[in-house]
Amino acid sequence: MDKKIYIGILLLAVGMIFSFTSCDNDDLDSTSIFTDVETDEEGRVGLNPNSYSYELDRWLWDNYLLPYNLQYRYKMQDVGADMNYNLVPTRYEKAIDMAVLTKYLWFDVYDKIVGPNFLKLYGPRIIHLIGSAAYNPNNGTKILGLAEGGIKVSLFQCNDMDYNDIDYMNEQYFKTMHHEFSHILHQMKTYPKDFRLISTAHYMPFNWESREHEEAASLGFVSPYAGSETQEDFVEVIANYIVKTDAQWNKILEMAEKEYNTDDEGNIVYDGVNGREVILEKLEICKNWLSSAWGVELDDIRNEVQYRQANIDIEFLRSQITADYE
Amino acid sequence: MDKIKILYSLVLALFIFSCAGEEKDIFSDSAANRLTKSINEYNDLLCSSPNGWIFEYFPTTSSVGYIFLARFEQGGFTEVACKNKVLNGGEFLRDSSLFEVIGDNGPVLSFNTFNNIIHKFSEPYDIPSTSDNESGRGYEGDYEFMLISGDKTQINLKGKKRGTRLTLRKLDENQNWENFFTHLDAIEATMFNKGIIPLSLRMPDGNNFNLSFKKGDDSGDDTSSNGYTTEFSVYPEGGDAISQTEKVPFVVTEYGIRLNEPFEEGDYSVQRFKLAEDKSCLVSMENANIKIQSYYSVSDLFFHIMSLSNSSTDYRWTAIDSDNTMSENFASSYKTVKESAVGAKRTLGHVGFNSSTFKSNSSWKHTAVVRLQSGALGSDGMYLFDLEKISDSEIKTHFRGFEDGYSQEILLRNGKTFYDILGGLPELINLMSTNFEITSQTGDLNPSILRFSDKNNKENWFDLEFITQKK
Repeated sequence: MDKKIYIGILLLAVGMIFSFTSCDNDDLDSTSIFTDVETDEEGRVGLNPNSYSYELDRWLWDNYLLPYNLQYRYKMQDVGADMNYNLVPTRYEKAIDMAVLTKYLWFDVYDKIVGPNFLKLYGPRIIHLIGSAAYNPNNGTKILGLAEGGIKVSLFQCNDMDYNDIDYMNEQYFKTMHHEFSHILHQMKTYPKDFRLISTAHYMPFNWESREHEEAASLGFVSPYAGSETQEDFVEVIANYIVKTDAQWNKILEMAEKEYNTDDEGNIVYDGVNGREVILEKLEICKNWLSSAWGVELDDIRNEVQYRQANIDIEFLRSQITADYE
Repeated sequence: MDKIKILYSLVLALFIFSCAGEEKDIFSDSAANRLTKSINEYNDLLCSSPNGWIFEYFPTTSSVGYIFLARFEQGGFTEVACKNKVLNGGEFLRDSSLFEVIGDNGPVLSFNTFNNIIHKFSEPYDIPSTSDNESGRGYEGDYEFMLISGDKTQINLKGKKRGTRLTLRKLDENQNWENFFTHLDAIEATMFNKGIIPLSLRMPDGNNFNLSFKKGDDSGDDTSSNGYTTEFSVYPEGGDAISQTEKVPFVVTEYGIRLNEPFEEGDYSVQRFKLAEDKSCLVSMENANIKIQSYYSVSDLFFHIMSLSNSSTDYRWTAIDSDNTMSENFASSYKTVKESAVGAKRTLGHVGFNSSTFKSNSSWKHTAVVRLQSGALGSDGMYLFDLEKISDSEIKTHFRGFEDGYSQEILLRNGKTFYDILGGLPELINLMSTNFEITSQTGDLNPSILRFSDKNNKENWFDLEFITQKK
């Protein structure tokens, strides 16, 4: 081999050694990039006892995060919300009421009736309170609640909540919670095919909002939204049955008994559906499915919710925020 | 030989590139720790002003502005106050909520629980005072603000969604919050008492602009959206008011005004104007040679106001009945007229100058006017005057007497009747008929009260206030 080539190979080797070793000091740092992690005396991470909201934050930690791994987000971050909507946060005092009522009317009910592990396993991981309505830019309708992938439940218009008006509270929040939670359940264990066949001819995916309650009931739907598609129908039966009082539920069945509707010109049009029978058939399927698939007795849940919503002592519920630690 | 060259080149390339990535550290700490440090520093800075900050707030870059006072405490407590018509009917309003400095691409001030002041400009609800439906949009204001820079006296913010450039300026520790807004009311009245006094933006290069603003309707009722004057209509001097007018929203501050966005002309860019000590003008804080001042001299304004009179609204200059607004001898005659009116079972409504039309001649003529009231009913007596501008600060007034034909006009006939039966009125009319030096008593920026000083008799002077009234 030519001597010059030897020299060349030698130089190449030296060069490669330099190239491999010159940057070898960049070891990964074994320590966390986060230096000061704040905790309170009981070790609740991120909680500052000097914070103005410490009492609520501590209670949320102990009553939602610790038992259910659920973040109860009431401090809104607009940068974390959909920037296409103009949304505002919930008032602090309203967030307190919503937090204690959610526990009282939802989490504690399932804990008592089904067992403490049920919502730990299947409940959402985030409840996000939003103070204002969210207007759909396409059709101007307001969004009451959103359940995103079974993980996050967003509740809107919390600044308008009035705990004295349980019907409004149910319509706006608690029915929404049961509605969204039922979605989570049927997404994990699908509901019976029989249910899908009952009202196939009458679903109206678009323009469902144009149906009045009476018309929807006569077709076998517990609400106009239930008439939009099968899945919504299924969860609306469960949610409405849980939160409606006997009188309200019977009113739906009464409306459903009518087998005709009136068209835009005032003419009577027979729909040929016995809505009462249809709704009761759907309810039976829901009850059986919840019992067999989940071990949940819907009537027990409903009875407990009905008892609780008739006996709301808001001052007592609020006092838990501080009383639990005295 | 070619192989050798290739090898040498390769080796050389390795020497050159092998350490190309070796740079000295740009930052001494990780991005996360630097952000945490910055968040803590801004939180401390916000809490460093015990009496809070003056918040010049604009919902969007094209909105009129609002002044808030905001105080921050360690632990996430904030208190905000305001006084404007959008909230609480123009009464002082205070509310508290939570705040937090959060991390996004940098530190962000977030008012993260609802506050009746800040978030009212972000709620997606219809605005009742407008004819449009703003459902889903509202005022479209931000409640999260990127913290751009700051020190102990001023913090610069940028609206997260709308990109508005906003400031927090330190509020004096001893300043009472309610009194601060009372002071704002006063300074606003000093600058913009009457909405139809035109202004001029004077530029060093002579490319000046005409400014007008909406203070209220012609009767003087305030209809502006937030209770303060909030927007200029601007067009080039000598330009076309219709096609070239640009809206320039601003906010009234304790020092003057701040425009929402900088106003730019040529090489000049101005945003803040400070009210001059003598209240003669607003001086740009960016360039002292740029000023906002009254478009008219006081003499021209005197004529301009009267020229605005029309069939539905009277624009006039009216004497102010109080001790320090007229000289002793003018007040003496004025008082005699008042007493004489009472003797005639009337009360004196007002005395001043205006423009009037008459049945026999529809052209507008300058007149002195005396109004007598009988309960809610009133009648005017008119006196024809020749008015002439002598200089920017001097006019000549001359009572023409009772000319032939006056008896055909009821208003002139009233004037003669009043003249004959009201003691002191001939003297008063006579005192109004001379050469006057005119000066503004409310600053040259807003000359809504003018002092008329007799050039030939120092004992004769009186103030006239600009009044609009529906007929």
